[in-house]
Amino acid sequence: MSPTIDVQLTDVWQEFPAYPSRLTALREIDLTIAPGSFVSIVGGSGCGKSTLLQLVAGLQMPARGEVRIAGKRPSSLRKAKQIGWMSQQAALLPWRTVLENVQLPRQVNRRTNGTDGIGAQDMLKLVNLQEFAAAYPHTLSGGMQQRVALARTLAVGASLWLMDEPFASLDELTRESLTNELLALWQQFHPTVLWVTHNLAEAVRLSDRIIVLSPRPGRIVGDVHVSLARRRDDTCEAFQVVLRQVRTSLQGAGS
Amino acid sequence: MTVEVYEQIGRGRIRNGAKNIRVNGDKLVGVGIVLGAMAIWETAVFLTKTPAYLMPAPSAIVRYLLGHWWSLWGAGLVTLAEALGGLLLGTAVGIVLAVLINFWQRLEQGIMSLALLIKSTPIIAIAPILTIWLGFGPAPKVIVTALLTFFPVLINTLTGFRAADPAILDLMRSLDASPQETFVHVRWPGARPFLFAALRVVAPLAMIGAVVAEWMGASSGLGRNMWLAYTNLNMPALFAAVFVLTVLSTAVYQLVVVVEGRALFWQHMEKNRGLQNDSVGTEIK
Ligand SMILES: Nc1ncnc2c1ncn2[C@@H]1O[C@H](COP(=O)(O)OP(=O)(O)OP(=O)(O)O)[C@@H](O)[C@H]1O
Ligand SMILES: [Mg+2]
Repeated sequence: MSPTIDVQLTDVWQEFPAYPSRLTALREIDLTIAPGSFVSIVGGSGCGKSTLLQLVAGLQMPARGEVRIAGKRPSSLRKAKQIGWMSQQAALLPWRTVLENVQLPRQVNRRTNGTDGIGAQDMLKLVNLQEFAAAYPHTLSGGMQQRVALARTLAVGASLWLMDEPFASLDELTRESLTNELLALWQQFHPTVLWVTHNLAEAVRLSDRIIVLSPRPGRIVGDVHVSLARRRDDTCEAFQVVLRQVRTSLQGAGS
Repeated sequence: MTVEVYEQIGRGRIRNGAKNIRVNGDKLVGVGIVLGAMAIWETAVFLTKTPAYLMPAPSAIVRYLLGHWWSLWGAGLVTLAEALGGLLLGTAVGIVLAVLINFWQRLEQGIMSLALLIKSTPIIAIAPILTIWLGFGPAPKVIVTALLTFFPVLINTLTGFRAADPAILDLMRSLDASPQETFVHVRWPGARPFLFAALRVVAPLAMIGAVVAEWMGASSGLGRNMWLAYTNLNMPALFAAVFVLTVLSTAVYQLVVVVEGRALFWQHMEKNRGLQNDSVGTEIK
């Protein structure tokens, strides 16, 4: 996989021309994310987490401020296929088989296909779906569909993964096993990960660092570094201390 | 564990059997209703002694059908060919216009105004003019049918292009996919269900379009048969032609349904799953 990548946001604001008045979704976001780190973004519903991710991917332009990834604009990172995008919906193409869905990233923007030789089949193996290569998405469970989406993200060969609550619609057990798989994949490929979640314990379990956003307009009100060794045991005291810390900054921002 | 599996298989079999019987029963009921209506019609004509030039009895129509099946069949084929030609042309034009609008949004207003203008002009007004220009051959019929069919195809296909899942569009943009790539991989395949929905509406309409155009002047076709029968007050002939038209329209519609099932196999499978659940529901009741 390509060299690791850092993300830098300087004084980023985002506004929408909503009715009846303009809506500020994000304000004064200053954030530097170290290459290869796993960073969670937490905050209440509507505080601008998805917006932040879209800004980093360059799917939206900020009203003010600058986003730089490895010193470059998001658009040039997209051109270089350095962004792996994953959303809450699996967003699979129903007329394609599992394998064909995983092949999609290679079939578009062909100028910049990575040189590393991991084929779509191997991606499926990484997410334990090799037996379902020929199946169609609607024959899979929700968890399996998200696995396919995960394999498709891997197939991009990106060094920055932007993940907007990808497992939020799954049940607790599936979710936990999938996040464990994700963690293993992250340790294998070491991309920089921006992970949006509602689940604070999950954020503590996964991340090197947790960014806490205030309710709208979203502002950074907490920045918690987590230095516990992985795999983390959520019953141990140190884990609970970090969890309380995140919760406190979230509640502090709520007033 | 094994017992459970066997039980499920067994239940599935019973369920399928019950479903088959139910479907066959539905068909029988349908045939019964049609036959019943025919019988009432026949007796009503017989009892009221209605003359055949006002209202022919079903038996008279059947007699005419049997006596003239060869010429009716020939006329039906001519109309069918014109209708399919027009359907093909109209569909192609509708799709091309939708694609143009998809890639050049600025064309939308112009194309839509023009399309609406054509659509809202009565066919009855256009058909005679086309016949004067192009003669009694198939050309004006094909054009009338195309004019009648392109609009629903255009609207539905365009709607289909725009109904693409925003989450997939975000994904494509994150990959820096070009508009052409997004079209080929996402918008076009996603628009196919919309296109087929339009075809279901437009396929029977195409037959009517061809017949109306023939009525305005033609050397052959069901429309000409009808017109001749009408001017001679030969009602059995008129009804027989209508019958052939209905059969052919149904056939064209069924053809669309079959092609749709093939082309949209993934929806088909989803539907099947729904049907199974449905029959479970009836079983419980
Ligand atoms: N395209 C848009 N136009 C107008 N307003 C928008 C748009 N996108 C987002 N917003 C507004 O910006 C705010 C932040 O939205 P965003 O989707 O980023 O929230 P979020 O933190 O991801 O919420 P959730 O946790 O519910 O997903 C919301 O108030 C939303 O209404
Ligand atoms: Mg969101």
